[in-house]
Amino acid sequence: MNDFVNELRAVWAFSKREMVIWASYRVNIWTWIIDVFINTSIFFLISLLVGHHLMGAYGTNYVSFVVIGLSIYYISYTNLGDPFPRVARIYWNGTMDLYMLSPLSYFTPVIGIMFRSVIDDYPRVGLAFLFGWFFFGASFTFRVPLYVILGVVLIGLSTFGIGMISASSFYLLNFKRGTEPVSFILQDVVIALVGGYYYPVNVLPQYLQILASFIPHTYALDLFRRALLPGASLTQPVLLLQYVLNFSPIVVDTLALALLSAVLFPLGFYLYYLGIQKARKEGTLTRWQ
Amino acid sequence: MHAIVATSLTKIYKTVPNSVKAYVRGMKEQGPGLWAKNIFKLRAQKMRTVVAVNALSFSVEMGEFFGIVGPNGAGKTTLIKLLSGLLYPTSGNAKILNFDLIDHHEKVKDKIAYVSTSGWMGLEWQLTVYENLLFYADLLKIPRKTSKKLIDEVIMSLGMDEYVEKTIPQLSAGMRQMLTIARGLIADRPIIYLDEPTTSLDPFARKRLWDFILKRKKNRTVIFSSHDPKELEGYADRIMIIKNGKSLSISKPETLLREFSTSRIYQAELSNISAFNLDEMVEIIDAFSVADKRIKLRFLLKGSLNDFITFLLSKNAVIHNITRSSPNISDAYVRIVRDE
Repeated sequence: MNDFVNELRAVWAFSKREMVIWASYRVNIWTWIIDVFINTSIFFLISLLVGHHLMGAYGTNYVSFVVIGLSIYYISYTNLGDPFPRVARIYWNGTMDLYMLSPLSYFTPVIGIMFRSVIDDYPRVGLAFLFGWFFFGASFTFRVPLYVILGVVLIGLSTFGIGMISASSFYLLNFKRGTEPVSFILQDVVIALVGGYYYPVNVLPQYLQILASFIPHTYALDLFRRALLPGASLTQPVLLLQYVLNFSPIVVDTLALALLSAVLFPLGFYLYYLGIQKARKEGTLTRWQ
Repeated sequence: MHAIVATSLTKIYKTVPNSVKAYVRGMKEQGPGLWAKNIFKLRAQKMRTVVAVNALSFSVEMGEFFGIVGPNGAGKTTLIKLLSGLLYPTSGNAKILNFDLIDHHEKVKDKIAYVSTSGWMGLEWQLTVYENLLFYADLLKIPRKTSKKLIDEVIMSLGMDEYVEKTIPQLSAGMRQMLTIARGLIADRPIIYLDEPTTSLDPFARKRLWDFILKRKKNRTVIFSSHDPKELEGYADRIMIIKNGKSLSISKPETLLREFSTSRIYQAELSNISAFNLDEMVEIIDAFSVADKRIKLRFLLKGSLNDFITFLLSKNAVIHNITRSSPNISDAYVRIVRDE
């Protein structure tokens, strides 16, 4: 118990430091608010153009639909895209040696340093909901709250698991500069295309829908849209797995998310551990020897 | 009880040969080109090997001040990293306070404090000196009450009290290095590794550091690496001289000097001759110019003093003075390293 409290204390120390760093760039907060506003307004304008006729089981309001897409995008962007650059920062700063000799777990520094992105990105979710509702006519409801909470936890865990797989490539595959392929292929190619941020997955060709079945985002988006969008169906199947399994779509979403989290989260941590072990063998823990 | 027992500790690095580097350098530094480059590196079969530490076996007593001296690239940093568990040895092993370095690294890391040469790069640049130390004390899980006391003690001892509220960019290179040392030493551990800690420090700061280390040394083992043996004279209980990863000598400073005292060392001030022209007669230990065409040098005679003076006169050199000089630790070091 003491160890756990101490790890939390270390995460808190990192968080405070990251907060100081973040706050020292004051223009951040304005660019950050404007960015969310522009993103939300773009989709409002698109909704004026295309109307709401493609929504199917997800109600009738495209802005509401896409606000949820944006929210999952922000969470995913942080959890999936952030561990790699954080590990890179530790490596280039030369602090990995110090962290390795501290009583912290291998993972605490990465989690602690990620806090900067959490304070930067997570509140965007709230802003997207706020702007969508206040300026662009989005509306929301709050059904099946237990599933929503479970969904938030599970999409957090599964995307962070992928993020740690991406981070592990820093040491495991020696990707130390430029684009990192795991997050590029998954986040920027596969998830961006088939995850369903901006359109329902069932508008995709079937082979892409099959690919979407292996991505946690697909299930999280389906779950949140059913739970939070007025007029969304809790019974009408949309995803392939929902047609295969004879359960409520929200239960299918939760089970799929739980399964993906159970695989991706420990896998990410294990691969990162292997990466650190490899670096200790090769003498590449830090850039500066 | 031994603080450290190293047995055949060896570290061999594998690096990509220059021919492969040249081949992949042309590839783009981003995207698929980079991925191909990295995969190519992974698959490179003909890896070049560099023996950084070569079968070192030695032990360090509890409470001992153990110096590691060697030229640049001798393997000092690699050895300290091996002994701290940051690097896995290619073969061999070590025990730190009876804990196996590899199998019990979790226990070993609680016993050591570590100051690295390039540690200043990892200082937190937006935080003040005090916040930096407090941050690392938190990471080291030092209770707040204790950590504040420790930080105050380190700050006062290292003469950093004027700088506590300054951020890193406001510090001189020497002060950054001092902060790096302070950061490493706030952890009150029985074994202290100091890897070339005096880089960038002026003589006053060095003095403060030495005073602090000597004050802390009680009941602690200090492993101190340097490329300047003079620095360790008067402090180190034993000195290991390494070159190319091999140990050339492990002895007490007085033993080193005794072994070297049979050699005849002189110092001279000469004009109208270059130090380069003296190679056939003497082995120069150090030489510097004191005025135009006038040099001051310390050297080891290869032949007799008479032969040397005759040689100088034959070259029309002006001899201002020649006197016997007693050997110091640097002489012993230079001799041992050169002879290897």
